[in-house]
Amino acid sequence: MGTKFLLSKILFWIVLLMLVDSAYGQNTTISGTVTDTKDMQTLIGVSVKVKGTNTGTSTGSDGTYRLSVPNTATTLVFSYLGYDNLEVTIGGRASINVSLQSNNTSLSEVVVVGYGTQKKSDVTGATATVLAKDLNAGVVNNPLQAIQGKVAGLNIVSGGGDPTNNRPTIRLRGTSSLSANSEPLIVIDGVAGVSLNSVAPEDIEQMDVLKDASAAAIYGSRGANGVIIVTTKRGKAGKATVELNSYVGIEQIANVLDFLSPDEYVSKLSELKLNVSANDYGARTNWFDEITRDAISHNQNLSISGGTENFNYRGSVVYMDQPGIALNSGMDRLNARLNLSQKMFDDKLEVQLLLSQQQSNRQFVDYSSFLLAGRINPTFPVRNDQGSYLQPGVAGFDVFNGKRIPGGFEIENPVARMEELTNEAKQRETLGNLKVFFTPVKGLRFGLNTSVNSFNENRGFFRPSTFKAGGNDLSSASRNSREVIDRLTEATGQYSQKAGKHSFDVLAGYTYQKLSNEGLNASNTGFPDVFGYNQLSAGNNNPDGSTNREVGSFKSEAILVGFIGRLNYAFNEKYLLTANIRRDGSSRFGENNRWGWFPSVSAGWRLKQEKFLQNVDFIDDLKLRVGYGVTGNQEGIYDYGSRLLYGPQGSYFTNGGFQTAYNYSQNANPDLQWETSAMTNIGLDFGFLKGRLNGSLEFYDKNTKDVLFDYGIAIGSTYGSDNLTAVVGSVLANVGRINNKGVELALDYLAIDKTDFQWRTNVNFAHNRNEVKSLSSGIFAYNPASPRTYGGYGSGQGGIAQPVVLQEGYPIGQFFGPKFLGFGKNTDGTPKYNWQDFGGKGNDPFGKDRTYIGSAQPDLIFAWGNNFTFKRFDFNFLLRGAVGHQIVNGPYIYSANPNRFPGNNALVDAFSTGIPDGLSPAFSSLWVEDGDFVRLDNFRLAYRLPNFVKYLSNAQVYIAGNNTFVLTKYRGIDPEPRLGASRDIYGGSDVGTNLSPGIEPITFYPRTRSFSLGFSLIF
Amino acid sequence: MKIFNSCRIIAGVFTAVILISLNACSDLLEPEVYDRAEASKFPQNEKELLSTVGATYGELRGYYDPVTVLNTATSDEMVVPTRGPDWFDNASWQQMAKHDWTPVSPGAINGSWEWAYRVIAGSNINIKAISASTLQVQGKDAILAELRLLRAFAYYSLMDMFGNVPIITETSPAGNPVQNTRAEVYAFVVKEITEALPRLRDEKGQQVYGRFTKGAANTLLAKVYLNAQVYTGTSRWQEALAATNAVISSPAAYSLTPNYLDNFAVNNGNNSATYGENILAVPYDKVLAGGMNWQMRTLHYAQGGFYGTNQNPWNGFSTRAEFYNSYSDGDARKAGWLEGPQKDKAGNVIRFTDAVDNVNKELNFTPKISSLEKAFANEGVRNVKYEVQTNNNRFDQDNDFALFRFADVLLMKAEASFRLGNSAEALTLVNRVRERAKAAPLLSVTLDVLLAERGREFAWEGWRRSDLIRFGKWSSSWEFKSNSQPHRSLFPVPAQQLSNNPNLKQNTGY
Repeated sequence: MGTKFLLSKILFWIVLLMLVDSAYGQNTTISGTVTDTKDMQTLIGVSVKVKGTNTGTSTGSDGTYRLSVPNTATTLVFSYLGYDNLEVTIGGRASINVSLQSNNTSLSEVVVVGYGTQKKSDVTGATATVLAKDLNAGVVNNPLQAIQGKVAGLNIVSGGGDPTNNRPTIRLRGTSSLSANSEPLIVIDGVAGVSLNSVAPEDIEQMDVLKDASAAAIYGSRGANGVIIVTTKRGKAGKATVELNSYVGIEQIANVLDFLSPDEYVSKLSELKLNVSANDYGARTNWFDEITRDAISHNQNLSISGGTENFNYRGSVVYMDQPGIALNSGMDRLNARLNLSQKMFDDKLEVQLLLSQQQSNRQFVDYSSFLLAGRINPTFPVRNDQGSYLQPGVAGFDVFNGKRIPGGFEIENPVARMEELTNEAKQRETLGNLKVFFTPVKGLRFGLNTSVNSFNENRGFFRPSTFKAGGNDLSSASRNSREVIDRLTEATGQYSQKAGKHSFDVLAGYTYQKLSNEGLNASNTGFPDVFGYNQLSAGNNNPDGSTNREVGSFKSEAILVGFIGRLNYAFNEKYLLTANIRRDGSSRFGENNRWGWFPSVSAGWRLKQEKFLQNVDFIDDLKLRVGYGVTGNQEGIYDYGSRLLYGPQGSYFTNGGFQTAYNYSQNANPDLQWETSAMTNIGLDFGFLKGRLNGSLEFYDKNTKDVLFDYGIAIGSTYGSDNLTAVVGSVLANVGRINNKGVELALDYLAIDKTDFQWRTNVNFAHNRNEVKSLSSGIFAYNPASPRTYGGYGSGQGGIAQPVVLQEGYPIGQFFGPKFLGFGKNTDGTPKYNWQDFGGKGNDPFGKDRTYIGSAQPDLIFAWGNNFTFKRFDFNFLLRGAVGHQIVNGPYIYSANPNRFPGNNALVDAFSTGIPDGLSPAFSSLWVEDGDFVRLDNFRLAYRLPNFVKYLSNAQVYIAGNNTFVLTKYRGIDPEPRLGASRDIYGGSDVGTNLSPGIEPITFYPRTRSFSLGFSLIF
Repeated sequence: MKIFNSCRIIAGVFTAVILISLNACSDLLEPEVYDRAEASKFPQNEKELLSTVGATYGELRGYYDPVTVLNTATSDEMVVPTRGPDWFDNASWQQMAKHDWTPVSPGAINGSWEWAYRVIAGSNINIKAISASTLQVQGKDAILAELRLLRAFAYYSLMDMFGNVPIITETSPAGNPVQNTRAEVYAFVVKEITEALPRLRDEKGQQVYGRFTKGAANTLLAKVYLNAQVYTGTSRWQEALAATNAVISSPAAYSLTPNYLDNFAVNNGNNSATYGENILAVPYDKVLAGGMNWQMRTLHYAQGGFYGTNQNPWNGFSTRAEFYNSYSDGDARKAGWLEGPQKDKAGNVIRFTDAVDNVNKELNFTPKISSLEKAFANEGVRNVKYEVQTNNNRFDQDNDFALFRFADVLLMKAEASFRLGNSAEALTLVNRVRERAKAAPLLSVTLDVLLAERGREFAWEGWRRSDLIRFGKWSSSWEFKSNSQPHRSLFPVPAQQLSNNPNLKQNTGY
């Protein structure tokens, strides 16, 4: 049925087109065609005037003009928005063809939309483009970091300074899922779902962000969180270019919490009249200093590019070495890329071959070391009398200066944990992409896009027998290897035609993608430490003959199929219409719901082209856009998540031995399908002051239904149409509704434009309001009286109960807990917290006396970028911030408690909290703090050198800095709220934390501050 | 006309592409399932079918923690004091000790609920699958009966701990289940046990080790009847007596293991002498079936070297002085406790520095615990009745958990007899159990004596909570606990379950 609809729609437009009359024009004395210098495409609507008069015309839809001019006229002036004005002497000619040079303002930008490109001026959806020259500077190890703060509404938050975890969390226009991934789809050169690690920032030509559903609907069931399209650099016809970029950077820990220094620790002992000699073990150790270092990173990039009219090439190699600020952590990566393009048969055939490979080595460290560094006594030494790493409390290894070092089972030496454990991975990812375009007649183009992405990861973990924490004396190792193969085949057909004032462009296509994920793992214990993780078979059996050898393997597969259609129609360059339709099927979903439709429609009205605005000089451009579309989200769902499957489940005793037992491995859901977002977007693009002030304003309203939610279900209960029995406490189901609505403003202003001095400044603001509308549907009824909470961490002293609630009518990331009033005393004289009474008489801080005490969702996120050019100097910087959100200050709950002292080290602030003796830490409003902040995200000062060598076309040196400072009142480590996790088939962490944003964790890898020095040479 | 021609071309191509694709749709989306077995293809033979029953039996390994731990740590037989930086765990152990728990915390409350319903889910799935299966299964009736007993045991635990819980069977309709009253659950449990009993095997030995036999079913039935007054308000002492007699007279010939501690020794499942007493055991294996790790929870950090454990133990679970002091010297059961100075391999008393007061001291387990909130690391007597496995590279051990013991049957019979007025019979039975423990015979019994004897015999086996409730002592004050509120004899319905199922009502008082 659906495809018939699509077909009839296409035919309707074809018929409409044929009815159009193309007669047009008038008699003149001078005529000609105006084209773009870059691609020689004709330009429509270019103003052609006789200089010094009002006589003039503009070019028609074929880019031509005719103008009768008086005999006195000597010069024609061609002007066009987004292009430099051009004056041409007539010199008696009757035919004058000119080319205009784009002045690189946004209007001439080409926006890469899905399955094609469009001029910015023709785009009807909400999109944003970031060009290579505008990417963030400094030590940047992934493409997302390079566009942080550049796009209104695109919030990118890094998880910390760990170079191995270069997967920041991305939210575009808020969070609209509960249990699925809420991140935009990544498309690299037309290949959807590839890992961003396969692209080095240096190889990026531009990044396009499709924000609203009308723009993203072409990606159907994967477009609901928006789309980020990365386009890599290609060679250009002309002189061959060799480019060399190099920098060296230094990274430091950006902010350390103020724990008692060793000397403060000792003086605090006497101040509190505690036994100094029993607690001062004589060493003076700053544990944070011991586990961190200044890390020197460097990055080298060499590329060659060039081509002829028919052939172009670009090859690039980028090597990056980025040790982490934590000992024994870091990553190095080699990216190689070769992009080739050949045109043949009078340009009828174009073949592109895009090859890339990424190889990286990663060294991971255990983040708990940073928690341990804040707990362990600063008068303990790093090493004991024997010279081994001290482990508190371990018999035989815990003597320093003859004194025994006490310990429980929680505190251990953080240096040993970092230095002695090995946890590393090698990754290799190879993407081969072949594109063939065939243009049998002008305007008709067939495309074939095939790719294979092959990703391998080999991990090794080793704990030597010398690692004595917890009394360990057994070596232990494991290996994991994994392979992901992603195959894509797409066929498209596209027809574009201009006829008179009408122009249209239709696209239809088919896409098939198959993903497989397989691997093995093995582990063993008890071999000589010299083997590391490299000789698992050498492990000894246990003394009683049993073995610790373990093996495992897995393999799964998913298939995604889509049919796409798009129509772009423009009338007189004034009225624009885009309609998309996609039908998607995914094997991940339940057998009852495998296929869905994703339509969208959007319209644009270029008001500036209307007569009433043509003479309004201060307005250069004005375009109103309205769009509506439906998109889906299915990312982050296990390949077989909907199916009723048996899997191994432990063992059972029978006939004197143990056998493997089997049970349902999950709660199947044959009705499982994508979550569906319907978004309305209204946008206004504008250009004022002769193109110097440009911007756009967007309003959106996104309603997501059938949200993928790991719905809590009573174990043992019967559910669903197939009367299945729940074997675990949750089932992935489509439950509930979420709304995100917001406004975004982006402004770009060329404030000063002198020959020697330019200042360009841009700001963007985004406000998003997130609300969980409903958490029930059908058989799944959420109980708002007993809402679910998320995000607790840590056992032991100072762990906190789950502070984030999921509740209808509130945003995701709503903090929920007792309201702190002060400290008091129980009847028996013991201290207590005074909680405000919300129904539990102030005695039920984990139950009835909880209330809403803050939100992780900022009211406003903003960024302010500036670029100054003075003669040969170029200076830019970006400030980024957010206001209106709160943070649960985890480290303070944990360590700002005087009762932890002296068994644990404590924060200096602990002793001003007033927490009475004997009162244990508890989560409450006391620890929910405002997180407003402004960060100097990055700056760069560059100097362009004179061309000191004959062949050199450009040379510059620069210094850059990242995360230079943060202004905030927040007392914890960093006020930027964590949004959750980032996960796809290539890696990442548990998306369960998506429901508990805004908690500053106690186990973390600190954010870093870096400075770098670099140069680039272009020959 | 040129336009028209082009249009025809593209229209034709689009139509072709779309038609080709649509025809292929249905097959396109069927991926291979590689690392799981689709329910349509599994189980294919009797062994595979029985392996799914095995998964339900395997759930019993999840009983000791949280269910046993919760029932033990809330009773007077165990206390887990906070020791400096260790064992605070969001105050959950203190909440258990003070009878101060909430629907949210400790997590063992929800864990116990979920454990029971996992057993119920597994049993229901198995009963449905086996009943519907066309496979020939030897002893099918007995297996179905065992599954009903497993399920009844889970409902018994729920009834005992939470009271009012939903009854879900293999025939329950889809949707959130409705909450039943405690009396309804009682009636269901009795009906299930009595109906299934005749089809169970009546033997002991390796073939039925760890399985529900008639002996195990009658033991469970005795427990249900013994507590009937608590569950329903009506006592069933006569029925309890009959059930214990059924065990005692069983052809399986149950008996007490001559040496008390043998019941809990490492590899106790390989010692046929324990088959007479351990009517229902939960088999553990440190590699293949892990989870038995009492020793890590109770031993002091510094004792790892003595026992040759790979990791230092965690120094948590202890008992109260009053409970420990109820053992007389010479009682074989006292050997299951560690008190006094502890030695290293060389025979020297272990010295350690206490992280609580930072004093270097001898490791001397004292019955006295100075504070629940800030106990010293050496305080509290430890229980090692489950023998510590020496030179073990793993956390887990090879001791099987003794779920139902013949000694319990004897003492249940003693109690039922006493309550029915036959105190002579009760005295004989109690002394039979004491004799095995090499404890001096008693001259008379009272309810208090019976309760104390049960405490000594079944320390840390998980029955203490229901015993204290049945004997009316649960609400009394004891060390670190003042009088409990009356509603504390039931645990609250966990908050998470209230979220999952809006049909549930919270227990009174919470």
